[in-house]
Amino acid sequence: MNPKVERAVYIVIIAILAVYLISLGKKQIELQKNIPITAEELYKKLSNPKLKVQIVDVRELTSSDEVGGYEDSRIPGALPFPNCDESKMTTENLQEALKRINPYAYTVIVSTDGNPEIFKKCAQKFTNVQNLAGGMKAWQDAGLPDESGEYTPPKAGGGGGCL
Amino acid sequence: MSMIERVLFWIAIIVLIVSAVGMNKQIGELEKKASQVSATQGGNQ
Repeated sequence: MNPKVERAVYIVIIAILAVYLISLGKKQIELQKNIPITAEELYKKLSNPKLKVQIVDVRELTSSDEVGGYEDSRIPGALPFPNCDESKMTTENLQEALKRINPYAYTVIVSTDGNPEIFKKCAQKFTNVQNLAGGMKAWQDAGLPDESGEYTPPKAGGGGGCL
Repeated sequence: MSMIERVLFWIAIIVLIVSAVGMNKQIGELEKKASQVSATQGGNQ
């Protein structure tokens, strides 16, 4: 066979396989959106330093309910994004948090009780996203570590929020 | 086309096929999980 033709055949086969793999990847991401992650699974993922997980907490900053708001109790390292509404990000620290939210990173949405409606609204803003099943309530019920207080952006050179 | 080039192309093709098979398996498991989740949610409503 003519070497040029042979090379072209190989390249076409590789291109077809690559396109197929990309479509599988997209399908996988879409399927993941429909499957909530449990608090224990999320804890395992967060404990693995090789995995990058962005946690976005969509609860109000403070709340009088049993679970509380973002500033009362949150998953360590969680970024605040109340109700997935940019207009609520008014303070300097919240603006900084908004800048840190990466829409292309693998993201877990944390609401009070894992409400699918809030998740659907927020999921539109992220490409690879999962809902925390049972929300912050499930995290607290499982007795997993949390932190409280106002969001403060990590200082340069400092480590991220780890468990 | 040299032999080395041909071998490299084949390695790339095999790697892509193996990853496609792996991803297909994962997608199958995810589809199972997703149907279980939707059945649970449907049962709760």
